[in-house]
Amino acid sequence: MSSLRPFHALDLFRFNATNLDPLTENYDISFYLNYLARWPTYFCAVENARGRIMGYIMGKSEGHYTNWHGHVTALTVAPSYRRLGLAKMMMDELERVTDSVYRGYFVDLFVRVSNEIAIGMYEKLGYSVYRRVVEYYSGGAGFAGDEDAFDMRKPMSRDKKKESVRENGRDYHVSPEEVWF
Amino acid sequence: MSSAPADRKNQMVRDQIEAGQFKQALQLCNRRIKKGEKTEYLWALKAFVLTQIPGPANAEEAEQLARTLSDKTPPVVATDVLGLLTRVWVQLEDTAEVLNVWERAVKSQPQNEDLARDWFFMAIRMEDWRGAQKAAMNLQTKHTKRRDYFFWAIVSCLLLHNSLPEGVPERKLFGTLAYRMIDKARNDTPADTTIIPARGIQTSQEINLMLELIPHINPQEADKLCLEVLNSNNLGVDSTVGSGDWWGLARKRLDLLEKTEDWKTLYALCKSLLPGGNSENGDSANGEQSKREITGRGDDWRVWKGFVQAAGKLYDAGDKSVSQEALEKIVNHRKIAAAGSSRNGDLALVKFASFFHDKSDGPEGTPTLQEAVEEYFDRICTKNCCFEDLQEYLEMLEDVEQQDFLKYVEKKIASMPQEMENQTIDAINAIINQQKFIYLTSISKLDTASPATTKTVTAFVTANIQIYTNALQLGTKLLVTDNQYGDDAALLSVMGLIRLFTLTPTDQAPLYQSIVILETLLQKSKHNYQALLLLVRLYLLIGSIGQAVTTYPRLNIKQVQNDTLSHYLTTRISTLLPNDRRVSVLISDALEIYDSSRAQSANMLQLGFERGGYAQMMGFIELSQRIAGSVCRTMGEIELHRISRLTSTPSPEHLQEVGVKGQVWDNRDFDVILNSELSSKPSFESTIRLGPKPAERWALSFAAVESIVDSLKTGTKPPYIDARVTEANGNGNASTVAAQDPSTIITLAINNDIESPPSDREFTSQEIQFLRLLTTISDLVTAVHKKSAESVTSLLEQQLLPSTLDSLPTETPDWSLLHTLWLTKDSCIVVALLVDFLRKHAAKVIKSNALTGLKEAAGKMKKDVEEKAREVVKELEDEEREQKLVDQVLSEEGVGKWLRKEEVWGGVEKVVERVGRVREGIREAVRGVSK
Repeated sequence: MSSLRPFHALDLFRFNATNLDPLTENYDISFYLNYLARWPTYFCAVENARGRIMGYIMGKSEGHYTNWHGHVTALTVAPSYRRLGLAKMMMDELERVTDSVYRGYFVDLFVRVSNEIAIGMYEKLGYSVYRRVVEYYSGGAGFAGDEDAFDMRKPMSRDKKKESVRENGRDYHVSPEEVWF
Repeated sequence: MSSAPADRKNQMVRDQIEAGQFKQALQLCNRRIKKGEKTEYLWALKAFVLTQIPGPANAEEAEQLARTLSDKTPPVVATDVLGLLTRVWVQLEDTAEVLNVWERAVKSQPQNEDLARDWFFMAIRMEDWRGAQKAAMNLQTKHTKRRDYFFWAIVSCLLLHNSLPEGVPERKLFGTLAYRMIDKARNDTPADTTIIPARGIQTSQEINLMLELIPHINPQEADKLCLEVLNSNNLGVDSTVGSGDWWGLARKRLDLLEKTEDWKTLYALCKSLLPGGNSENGDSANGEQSKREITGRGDDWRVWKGFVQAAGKLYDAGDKSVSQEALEKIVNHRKIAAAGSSRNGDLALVKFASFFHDKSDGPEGTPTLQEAVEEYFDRICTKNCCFEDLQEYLEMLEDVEQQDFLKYVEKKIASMPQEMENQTIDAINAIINQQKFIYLTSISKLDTASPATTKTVTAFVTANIQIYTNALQLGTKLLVTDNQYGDDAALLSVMGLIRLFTLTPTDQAPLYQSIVILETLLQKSKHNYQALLLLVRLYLLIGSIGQAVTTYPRLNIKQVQNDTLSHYLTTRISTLLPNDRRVSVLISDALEIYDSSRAQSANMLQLGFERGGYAQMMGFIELSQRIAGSVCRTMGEIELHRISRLTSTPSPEHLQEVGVKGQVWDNRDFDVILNSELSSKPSFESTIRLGPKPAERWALSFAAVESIVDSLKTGTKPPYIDARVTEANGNGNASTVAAQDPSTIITLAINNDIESPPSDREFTSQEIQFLRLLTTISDLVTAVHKKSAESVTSLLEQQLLPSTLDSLPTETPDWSLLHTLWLTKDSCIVVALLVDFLRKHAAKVIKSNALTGLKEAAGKMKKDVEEKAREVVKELEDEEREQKLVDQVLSEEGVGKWLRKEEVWGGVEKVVERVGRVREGIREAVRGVSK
């Protein structure tokens, strides 16, 4: 069973099932609190019946004019709770908040080009590659060296003409400096 | 304004302060003042430097300088000077002056908004809630166009209210003020939100602030008042303002309805929220109606749980039609929900059945709990979470029903297709769930050693080893960051082996077998954190401490995890391997979180106000307080101090004072390790701890130990001694006085510990012995300072150290032996310090040969400890013994049969090598004591 709820500052003591996973980054405390202070409705946890955190999502709103959008900063599900649709549940909520609260034109996220499972999942959720960000990720646990990222997007209802997405985005290369909003 | 050269000179002083060179910083200030420089900043800087150098004369001079600046007319208004003055007054513990200096500055420039804001943020950063409240009220009355100042004032009143003790009239006053202000904002908010007045509620964070505030101010009626807000048109869950946090507010409403036991409303609301309900708010991001029908926002366990619970309660109250309707709703949902959709509806049926389990009753069509559990297993058995979803319900079944369920599971698994690879992976998952059920229903119940128990557990262990081995062939394409499909089976086998060990602790073979299993697992699943945490604990338990220290960094523990997880390695580590430099580095690194948290929390509080994240503020403050008062912090500091004592290295400068200040919090995470024990039994993790779990009592006692040691080293009179005199005069607060006396703190703690049930105890028997020695030493220190020769003499007649170590068992050396030896060594060191102290301060009342005798006894005991360690090392080097152990580990009768296999486990040679490495690790740790 799973239940979505707002993330709370004290959850930082209780998210080890997710954050001991090598693919989940551990930021300093201020990083999480900054998101909680600025975008509280974009920061949610999924818990089981015993109140154990199974995963969480944190995001933000950024950009200007037609680039105003929701961004997925982190999405993680603990290894024991994968293949249960939790990522979709959290992404649905982030999209709902982007669409109805922040009125963003699209939602975007970055994913390692080697992470085919995640790319496949996002494609199933309606995301497509908008551009390839060269050497966006630096090497870390389990990774040999720097790695490119795909910037994937999904248009929201405000983007009526679907101008926030493009065909063949995988062939469109940019540097990391070009993707800051 | 300062000129550029002055800036450079100020920077030089600040650099010295940063480097902790306060005397040099003071010289720089004095030199400039001598040359005639008289800026306010320089004076304030000098005052601040003076507060950093101990000594009453420096404090007095700092106060004089600060007083001159604080009383200046016209008042100081430069924020950098005010900031320094604030720090000076805080150091001098005069917060009233902080308030005064800012108030005068702001009053002298009433239109200076920046100055007023600086005051507010300074107070927030210092957690000076009274100052913050005054500053915020000033802002909101002087700058009425800024709506945020109005909310800052509300939050500040609430923070001040919460900081004041219960029963203080002011507490009620500020609470009422906060409530009145937000209530006005609420009433000013129209239902039509096209135009909301500036001081009306405009954001969901402000609604959440109101909901946060109400229980503090009016606890009796809080639930009712909060529900009124959540049901209201202007600020309720379905209002325009509330839509910003629709789901957060909706959950709060469900919680409150449950709390107030308004089952009818809860039922109706949950029903409307569930998929296929009549909610208007369940649209998915793209507004797809058909999608909402199946996966609407209400398909959340919180809603299903409320729905089933309310139906059950209404049934009990006689409204049986509702439960019939609820059952139909669940059944229909499960019919139309697509395969692979959320399992909430499935589990709702189990919960529904569980409600009628003891009643042998329920609406028509209600399955028995056993049927419901079986049906759930049918659907979810391939998911890892199946076990934890069902555990609670399985425990409700009778033994016979549990056995029937296990038979059903076996049949189901036998019928699962395994032609394709993914089908086989599914089957492996189902089998592992089955093994967890077996552990729960059979293994967890075993609590006495017997041949039958050994047989049952061994069968379980080998079955799981086999499952793990078979599953490995499926994982050849997995990524390096993935875990193998059968890892949980290997962990279950370790749990079984640990069960054998806890039933017969003298037989260590299961521990070695567990280590072989985990080391092998971690070659194939490099990041399996369950295995890593377990392995760290097992190395510690067995006494191969260096291997634990080597393995721990593979967990990549960072940031706040240092507070929640470092205890897996560092608990009592100074009594296990103090001589390994890596240990103190690891603890010091972990302790950095506390300094960084302090700085970050202040910034975050400010950001919370600036960004209007009001509902988060209480959480931020609690987080900050819990980290600052963390028991892990004190434990880490204690470990570092003991390491420095045992290794004769200087104690860490920045940790001169081991602190337990204010409330102690326990943020440690013990739940992260797999657990399949019955809920009535201790968790699996608790069976592999190194002695009782240290917590507040432990931290307070050993912090007191450090204060006693400190008074021996410095010879200065501890402040509690004078406080005791005050008490004797009848002017003191008895509890406060007692709390400051380390001897009393320790004695109380020991007595409480002994009286506690075993699960709540915090001290090992060795620690109690050590602490008792320290209480005697503390009493001696007191007697010396009070010049009570009689007490000194009678205390010295007590036997301070054990006379011999002969009774120490050494057959199976493990952590406990190391713990005893190092603690005894520490006792000898402390006694030697006592002798030095007595020679300096009590030479007149104690015969010199008594002190020499004591010092010699301490020296002899230290040598005995070292000799004992050498003996143990020799025993550990005995090849025959090691061979016997290897034979046990590889015994054909149990798991050894599997570990002998070349494939996967590496064969006999590999096992011999692994056992040898562990033995060498133990020898290395024990050798450390002998040096």
